[in-house]
Amino acid sequence: MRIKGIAAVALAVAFAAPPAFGGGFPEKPVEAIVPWSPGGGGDLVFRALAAVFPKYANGQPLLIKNIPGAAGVPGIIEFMKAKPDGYTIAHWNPAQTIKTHMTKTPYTATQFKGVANIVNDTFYHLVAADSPFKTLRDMIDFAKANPGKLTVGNAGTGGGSHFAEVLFEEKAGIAATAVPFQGGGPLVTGILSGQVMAGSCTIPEGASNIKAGQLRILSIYSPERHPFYPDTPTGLEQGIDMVFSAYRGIVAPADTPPETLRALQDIFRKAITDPGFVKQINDIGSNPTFLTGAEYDKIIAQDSENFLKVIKELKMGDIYNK
Amino acid sequence: MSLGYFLEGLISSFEPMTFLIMFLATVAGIVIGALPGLTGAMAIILSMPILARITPAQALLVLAAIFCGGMYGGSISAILISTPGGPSASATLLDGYPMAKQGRAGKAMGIAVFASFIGGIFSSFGLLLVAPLLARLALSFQAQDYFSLSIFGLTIMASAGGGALVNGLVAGWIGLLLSTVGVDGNMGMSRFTFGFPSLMSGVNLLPVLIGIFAMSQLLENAEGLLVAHQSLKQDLKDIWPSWLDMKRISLSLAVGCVVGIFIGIMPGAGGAIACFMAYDIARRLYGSRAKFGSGVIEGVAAPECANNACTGGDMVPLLTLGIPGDVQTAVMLGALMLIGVRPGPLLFVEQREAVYTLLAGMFVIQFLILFLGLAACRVSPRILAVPPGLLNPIILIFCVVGTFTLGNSLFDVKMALVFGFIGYLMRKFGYPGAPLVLGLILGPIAEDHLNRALLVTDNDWTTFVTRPISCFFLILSVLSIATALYSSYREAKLAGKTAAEPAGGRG
Repeated sequence: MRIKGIAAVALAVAFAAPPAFGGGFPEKPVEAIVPWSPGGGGDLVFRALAAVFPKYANGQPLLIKNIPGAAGVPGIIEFMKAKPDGYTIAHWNPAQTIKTHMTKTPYTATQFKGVANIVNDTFYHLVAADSPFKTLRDMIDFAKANPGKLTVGNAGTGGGSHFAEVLFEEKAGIAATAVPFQGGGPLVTGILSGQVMAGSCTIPEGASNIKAGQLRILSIYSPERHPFYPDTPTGLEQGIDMVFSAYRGIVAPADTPPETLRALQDIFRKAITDPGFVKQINDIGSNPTFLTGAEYDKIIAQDSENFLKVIKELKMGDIYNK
Repeated sequence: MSLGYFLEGLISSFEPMTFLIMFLATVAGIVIGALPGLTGAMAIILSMPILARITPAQALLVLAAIFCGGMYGGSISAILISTPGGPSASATLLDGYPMAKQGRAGKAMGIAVFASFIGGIFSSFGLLLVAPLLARLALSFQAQDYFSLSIFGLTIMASAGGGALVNGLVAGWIGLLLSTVGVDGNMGMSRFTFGFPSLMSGVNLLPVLIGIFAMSQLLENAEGLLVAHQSLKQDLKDIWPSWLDMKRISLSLAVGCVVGIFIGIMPGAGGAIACFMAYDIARRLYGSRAKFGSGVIEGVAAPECANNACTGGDMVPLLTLGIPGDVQTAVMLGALMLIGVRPGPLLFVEQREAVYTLLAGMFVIQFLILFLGLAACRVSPRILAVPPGLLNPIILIFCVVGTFTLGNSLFDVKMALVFGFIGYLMRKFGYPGAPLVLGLILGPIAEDHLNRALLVTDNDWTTFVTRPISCFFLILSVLSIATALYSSYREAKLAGKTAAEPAGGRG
């Protein structure tokens, strides 16, 4: 009897409690599938987002579900089972786009609907403090004078920093040996220990080492001077026609109703510009950049095309290796 | 390193609130470490909301306490139920579980606590006194050296886990072959994934670990259920190591400390490799004085000391360079950055107070582990009094739930079940599980560094012998193989012709 009583009360509370923030979407928690490990870059950004989400979403929480591994494939396969009602969203970044061209995936990069872009991390070239390369020009001249001798590290084959480097070499007219590391941490170790002559890195990799004078930035691939490094010349200033950054955003199932997408986008627009969120993201060295779902869709489509070209050219992955 | 700052740090780590937080974090670390599948990384993620509400110094202490506590906690389940709480506890069960089966679980746990304490204290000294030096050592290692180091690690697999040399090699090769599953690092091609997207990132270590060690043991236990159950009396009085014990394990402890801190500072290696390496080196040094694998305290002390000695070493690259060496320290880095503490070369300048509280707190944490561990020794062996018909299903549930939690994926659970069956067959035919796990851990590390070494030297294979550090490890590897062959030859001769395992030549 007593248990029944408690259950009845609980039910009554659950149904009768008026929504504290007024009606409308969302009426229940929203689940975000992060196809990366807990503690990884994508996870940290989503957790920071989850901390401010309820403020703008009728008090409903953003629940994070990590399904790590294989550049997001198992996670996105799980995401494909979600109902298109706006209550399940997923993390999307360039590595996930690249993966769709590296191997056969049951989805394409462009089949989901963009909700919003959250952060935008620019690429830069780092060298050890004692490197003979003082400017980007030095590095390019060295590569031209000594073909095949320049080694440039990246954070993993098929990752964003690898593609940034390929694109850079095309624009600079040089060819370097691409040396993959298992992630940004080992890459920074590789530059510090002189294993590679330079590294193609993503902000904020090596940030604390730059500040301590152990690493130098040769050039940074933002459209204008980067707010974190206003004294560092951009690639454009040094004659390299290239702007490149890694986007991290949110996608929803393709059939999600437009009004739900708009509601989600509005929630995230407020959350991403929330001062608390901005501070947390700046603390991890990243740059909050809100873009609408439509704009994010465009970036994914563009990236997808560029990446495909490079993958075909380099004969990488499972599909184009013949 | 200034003594004044250290004392200040020591005082602030004893502030009531700080001490309480640290105490709770150590308890949480030990519990999570003991539960298979739940990792320290997960614990750190769960503690993030709390980290944001405490001071940076307290946050650093919480992270260190979870890390160190978890390292020790893994030994509890390894000893009692042959289930390593994490990869770093894999070698502990080789002698710990046999001890539990002999009714000496309390003793094994006592040794584990004591060895963990010694390793932890040694590691804390290393972190306090020579962190910058250790960081420089880590940077002097390049891909060639890491490759040769992992080759040296592989040479110990032949003898890891005892048993016949050939059987160990076969198991190790299976581990190495399994490690080739997944996307290759150079061209991004999928290898042996058989269309399973979940295999693209390789065979996951933890499900294999739980399958090979825990589930296979459960299957073997199930055989025993057919006969009447005899409750084994566990001796819970003789826990604290006696002077004689301490003298016996002193060599194990020395090996554990050195191997642990050295492997700890190497990025990407960590406790899993350190524990096996220390176990094997100790086994060889003791020779006939201790029969490793049969349930000797020397065999529990070496790996437990080594994995705890790793903790300080692991934190060296994180604190001094801002570079995490493994998953756990990577998560720590993320958690610290979210609360505005940026580990790196300037940390000692910018957050001096917090850093010295951590350095001092590391010592306090070791004492907490000793205290809590001894308490656990008196209580937890009692779970072995639970009838196996009840205990085994409970362990199985923990294994399944733990494996699922890893990546929210049923695939991992299926992997664990499959490897449980494989592990059972391996037991039946006398193939040790440890070399397989070692192959799976070291394979990807060796391959990754081999690729990189050849890329930067333009395919120059001589680089492995012309670089001094690399050459040194290759020589060690040759010596390691030679001594293993010699001792197996001698054992065979001593034992006469009858000793040879019938299955030894096959595979």
